[in-house]
Amino acid sequence: MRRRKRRMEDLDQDIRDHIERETQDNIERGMPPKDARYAALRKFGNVTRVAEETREVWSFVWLEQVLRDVHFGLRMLRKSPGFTAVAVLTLALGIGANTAIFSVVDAVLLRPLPFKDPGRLADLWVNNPRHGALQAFTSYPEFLDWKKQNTVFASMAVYRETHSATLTGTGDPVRLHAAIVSRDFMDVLGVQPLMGRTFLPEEDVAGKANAAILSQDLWRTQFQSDPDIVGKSAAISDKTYRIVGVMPRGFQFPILAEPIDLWLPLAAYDASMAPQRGVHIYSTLARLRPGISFAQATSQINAVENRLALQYPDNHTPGDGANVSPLLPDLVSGSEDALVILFGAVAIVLLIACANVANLLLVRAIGRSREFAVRCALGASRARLVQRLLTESVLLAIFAGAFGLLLGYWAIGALVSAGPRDIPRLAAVHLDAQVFLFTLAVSLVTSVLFGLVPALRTSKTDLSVSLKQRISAGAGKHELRLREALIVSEVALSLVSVTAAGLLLRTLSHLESVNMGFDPSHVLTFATDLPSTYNDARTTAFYDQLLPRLRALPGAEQLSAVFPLPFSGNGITTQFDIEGRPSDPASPANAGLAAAGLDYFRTMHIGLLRGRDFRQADGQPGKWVAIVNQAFARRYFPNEDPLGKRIKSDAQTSDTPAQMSTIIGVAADIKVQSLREDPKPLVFVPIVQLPIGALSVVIRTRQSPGAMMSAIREQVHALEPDALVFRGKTLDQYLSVTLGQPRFSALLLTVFAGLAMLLAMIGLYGAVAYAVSQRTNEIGIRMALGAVPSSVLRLVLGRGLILALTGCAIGLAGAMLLTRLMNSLLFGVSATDPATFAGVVILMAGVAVVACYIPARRALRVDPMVALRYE
Amino acid sequence: MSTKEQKERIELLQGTLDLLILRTLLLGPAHGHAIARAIEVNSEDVLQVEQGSLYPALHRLIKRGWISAEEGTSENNRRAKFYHLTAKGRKQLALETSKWDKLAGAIARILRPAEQEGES
Repeated sequence: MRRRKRRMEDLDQDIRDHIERETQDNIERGMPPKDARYAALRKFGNVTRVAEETREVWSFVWLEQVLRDVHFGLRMLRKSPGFTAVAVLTLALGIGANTAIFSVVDAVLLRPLPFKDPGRLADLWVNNPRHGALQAFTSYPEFLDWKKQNTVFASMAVYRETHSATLTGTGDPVRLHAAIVSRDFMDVLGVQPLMGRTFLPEEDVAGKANAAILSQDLWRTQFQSDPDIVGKSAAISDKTYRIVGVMPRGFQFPILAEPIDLWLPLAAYDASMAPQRGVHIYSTLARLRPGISFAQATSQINAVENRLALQYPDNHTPGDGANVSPLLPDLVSGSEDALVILFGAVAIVLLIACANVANLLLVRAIGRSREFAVRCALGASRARLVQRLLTESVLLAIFAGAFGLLLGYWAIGALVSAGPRDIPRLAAVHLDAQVFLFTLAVSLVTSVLFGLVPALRTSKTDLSVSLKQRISAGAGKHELRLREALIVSEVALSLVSVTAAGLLLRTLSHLESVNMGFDPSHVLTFATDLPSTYNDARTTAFYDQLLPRLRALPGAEQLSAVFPLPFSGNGITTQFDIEGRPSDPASPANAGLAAAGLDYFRTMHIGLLRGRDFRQADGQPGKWVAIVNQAFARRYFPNEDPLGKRIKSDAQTSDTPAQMSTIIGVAADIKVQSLREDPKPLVFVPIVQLPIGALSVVIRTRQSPGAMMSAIREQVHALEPDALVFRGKTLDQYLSVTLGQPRFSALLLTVFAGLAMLLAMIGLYGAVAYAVSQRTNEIGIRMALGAVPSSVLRLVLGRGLILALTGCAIGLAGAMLLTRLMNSLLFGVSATDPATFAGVVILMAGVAVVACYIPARRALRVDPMVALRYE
Repeated sequence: MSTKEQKERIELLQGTLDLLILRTLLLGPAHGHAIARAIEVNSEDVLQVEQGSLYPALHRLIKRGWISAEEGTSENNRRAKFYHLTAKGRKQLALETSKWDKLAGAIARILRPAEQEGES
């Protein structure tokens, strides 16, 4: 490098020397000294170009030029920091937001499941309308029948998840999240263990099946990554299991928000439930045979199901319908709509960002046309000019890319940690390099296209014209129209996304203010897990002892127990016989069922509209009672008084045969599963009539949940030292899980819509500001001639507002078409809600007026004298 | 500029400048201006070198190793850079000259077959 520098210095010396000699020669020929020098210079040619061409001889020239252009480009960007900051930040926002959201979309929706040939994996559902359930679970005997008669699947398995497996003997007892599976489970998925093996055929047989497969995380945390773990024993839920394998970290199935800790054979863990045809608790997973389509599989399974319905009329009716569908879409269907809408919103942000930068570059290129003219006059070739501008554009895009990458990285972290738990595969999100490069390329193309094209147009124009004018003819009609079209589209696009955000915000406020029928604030809940020696009777007795003890705790205002707890995800649906009415096998009466303790309605603040609450004496043999909700009364006793009527549910636990229950009260409707649901018929019975061990205790208290929970644990352990207290949560926490997705999507969409609006308004602001600066002269003349301020204001404001309103009109039409796509996300508001649309238009118009007015005001401060001297 | 009209001068073909430089340096080392003058004078001012274009050509030749540059003192005792032919350059000159002769001869035969015959 130094040698080259020397050489170039020599060259300069050489050239100077040459010109001097030529001058001397000319003088000797008799020219006056001054002319002699000019003649010598003319004869020599363009000194700079000669030096440059000579330098080019020395190879590294290309790289050197690039470096010089980079250097120059950086200087140009530094010289206009405002432009640089706005352009870089704008593009970075577009790149960052797109990278983050697309990374989520890809990880959750698009990336194939990490199993062998995942496209052939299927979900198998059978409808069970009699139990009020579409896509119901299946029972193990039913699954075995399917498997026996199956001709379309290469392999099949069933599974369920449970949070109640308890691991003991490795320190403090730990509660595990286990998948209870049939033995083919791992084979269907086509996965290999990290060590050990998967389940064997005999492990489908009760008594021989006590095998367990650990997740890598469980192996690490509870077994200290013991390399000899395979073959050792572990005590899980009072049974001893032999550990036969460890799965690699990447393996998770079923894919849920909380990772699965271990896999246990259903023949061991569900030894008592698995053989019962009436216990519908399993999901079915199958792998299609090669050449079989999902439709073919569906029709075959329907045929099997219809045969089974005839054979076991208790469980199914012919024609209930079964369905075989691809696994991945089923897995993510709940999150798909929201993610697609969000993706649309960030794409809009990117489009607006690009439009904005295009606009900035157009204006800048026009402003620089004189610079280009000067450069051409000084001997710059067009290729060099293009190269230089290209470098500037690329620099912009690189800075934007770097910032965008940071933003994206940060945003993904925020999305994953703040995202709702019920988005599957969210934890697997990582920054997607492809989409980052794609967005970077989009920004690059934008900046090159809009930085270069106008510059080329200017450089074509007559040099002398460009040189003489302050601002060149490049600011012609063509560019103006292009810039205005960009502004209009920005406003239109941002209006669409603001509308979408508005609709989601209204949905959220409807969801948050929905009348749940109970008051979730200050209600603490928990459940206990009792040793397996507790049968139903002993469990009931345990709660009979526990509840009075808890009631005595300071701070416990009211308390009761219930199963299922609203919004806990549990539910029972049963059929009813109504006394004096023939049961109709085609459409049997069905309703949700809940076992509720004394004071349940008072504790939950559920209105008891008629009749009375449960009493201690209720539920004794022969004195069975029930409280129904309004929806039940409306549906089954539309023109009668339900009080005193008798119903009988088909739900029964092992030692309590169902009896006729007298309806003693009517309670207000409550939401049980979802805030969006319509009221469903629901029947409450005293716990003694439905002694379910899995009760949740509900306590209305103003004390902090933490302090209360430790007091509760003390009381539980005083009664049963081996009992486990779990799910200590407030009802609000349960609800916030339900509200998680709508809150999350409304928040994100609002952020993106805000960004879109901000960018569009920056664009509008810039356009008006530029127009004012262009017309300073004209405004000066008008004011000198006596124009009043308001007419000047109208002059500059008018165009901006016309652009904004045109954009609003187009955006409104677009929003009308596009918001339909988000119907499934909305609640309590229609996709074309007039109030939302009106509000959005008013908001956009108002903001547009401000964005136009601020720069327009500057026109009023134009001093006519200054403006006139400007020429 | 000299007395001849611009029109009568012939612009150098690409590559021929290299040849002329090598030929000029065969007579002995020279500095840039001297090379340009020599080409003009020897061609009786028909060949007009845009003097600037000499320098990229000189550097090109240095890079190829056909000539080399040395610091020296010129006739009026000033520091100047003298270019001289290398052995490689000498060979190249012979090669290029014979190439040129063939080319010029061929073109001449095509353009003026009769005259060519007559002269030889």
